[in-house]
Amino acid sequence: MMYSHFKKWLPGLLFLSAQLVNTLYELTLDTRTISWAPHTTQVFYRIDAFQNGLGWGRRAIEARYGVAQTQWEAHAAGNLRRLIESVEAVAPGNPDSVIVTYRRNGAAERTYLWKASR
Amino acid sequence: MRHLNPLYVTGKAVVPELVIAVRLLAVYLLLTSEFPFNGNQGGGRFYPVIGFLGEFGSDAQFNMGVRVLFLGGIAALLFSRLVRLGALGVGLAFVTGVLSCQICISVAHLFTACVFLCTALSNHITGTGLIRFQLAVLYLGADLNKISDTDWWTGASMETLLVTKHQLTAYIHAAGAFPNGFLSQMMGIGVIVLQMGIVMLLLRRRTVVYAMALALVLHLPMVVLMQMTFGPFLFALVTAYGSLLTWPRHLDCNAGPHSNLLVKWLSSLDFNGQVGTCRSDAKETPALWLRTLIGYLPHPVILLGMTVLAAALVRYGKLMPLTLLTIAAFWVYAWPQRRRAAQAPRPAGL
Repeated sequence: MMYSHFKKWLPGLLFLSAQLVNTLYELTLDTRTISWAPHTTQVFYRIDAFQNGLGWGRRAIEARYGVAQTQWEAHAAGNLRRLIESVEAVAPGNPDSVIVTYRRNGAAERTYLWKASR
Repeated sequence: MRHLNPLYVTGKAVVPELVIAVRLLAVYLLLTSEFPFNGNQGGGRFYPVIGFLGEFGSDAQFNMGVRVLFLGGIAALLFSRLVRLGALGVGLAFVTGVLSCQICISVAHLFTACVFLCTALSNHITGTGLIRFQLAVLYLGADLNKISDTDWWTGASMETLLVTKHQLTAYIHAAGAFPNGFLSQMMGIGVIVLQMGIVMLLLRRRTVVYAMALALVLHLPMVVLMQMTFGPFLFALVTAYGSLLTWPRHLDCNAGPHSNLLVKWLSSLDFNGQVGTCRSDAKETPALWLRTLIGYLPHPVILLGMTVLAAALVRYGKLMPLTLLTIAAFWVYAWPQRRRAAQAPRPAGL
């Protein structure tokens, strides 16, 4: 009886435990993906991309990275870094460099720099 | 054949409370166009978080596959006895949507997915226990993220959210009455304490109604102040919490005067043996209709009507009436059950 009840609970409890373990794991990272972190962090950012010393236009940047050039990111600053790295690892026609300037929760401005390795 | 009827909610592999919850949520998603890869879920696969999701077919084929899974799941859970299989499809479609599109990461859609997935993993032994624990995991996860972030203790996070980002005039005025940053700091710490309180209350079945009350205090001011429902999050929360209340198998029409007209109509749409036969001598008036509607609130047709109303209010941006409707529904239906919840039949084995 106990064993059959345990079997009925097991898949659900494993599913919920996996969420908790993942939440604890993501606390050790600078990104938030399926961690329960809604609007926990407010990151105001701007993305600039450069090629041959010239900056790309807003539309080119937004088309390449799929997000507004200047906007709020409501999960984590690391999500922006991960996005830039993912796009530049796969998409052809990359710029020479990408600079993300951001402020997390109104703190001092910080920058993330991606540079083409060529 | 009766399983083809979406208003027939008994006789499934999960308890009626869960059948009603996922069916109402599915209808709401359809009415508000909250599909995976739609609205703030982006336009489709876009640099997946998990690499192998980028290897299946072209983007168009992948996006179509996710949509078919979503719509097929909704059809199964609405029009068959395979509620768990349908819920699994819808849940997986939302999770796939989140994981296959970096710019679509959304706790709102992830939680909606989890309501469906917990239903898919439920049975008559677990009852609604998994949904209750899912809610506890949601608040615990959100609270751990806040507890580990210094900005929530200093108030910097709330200050940025409410003042810099949303520029809430009422909050700015209120904050002016206190020393600089004090209100934001208290709000930040208050949210941490509130969320932990909800977790503690959710862990015991007899205190879930009090958890609901705290959840209203936490979420509804955000809806009113920020003028957003966070996609399907608000309604997913309402259905998840609502499923924790025992759905009455029989509605007692002898409890007081009622509208014969409405009861007759509800009887004709009763496919679960829920409405008994009785007569009232009361005169038909709008007040009596309202009283009858409140008395018969758990009837699937009235719940469906409330869902359509909620979707319409969201669609047309009427969030204040939506908030008042939510509070009213809690007050007339959930709050009186705070003592009954303690006596409610527990899922076997819990």
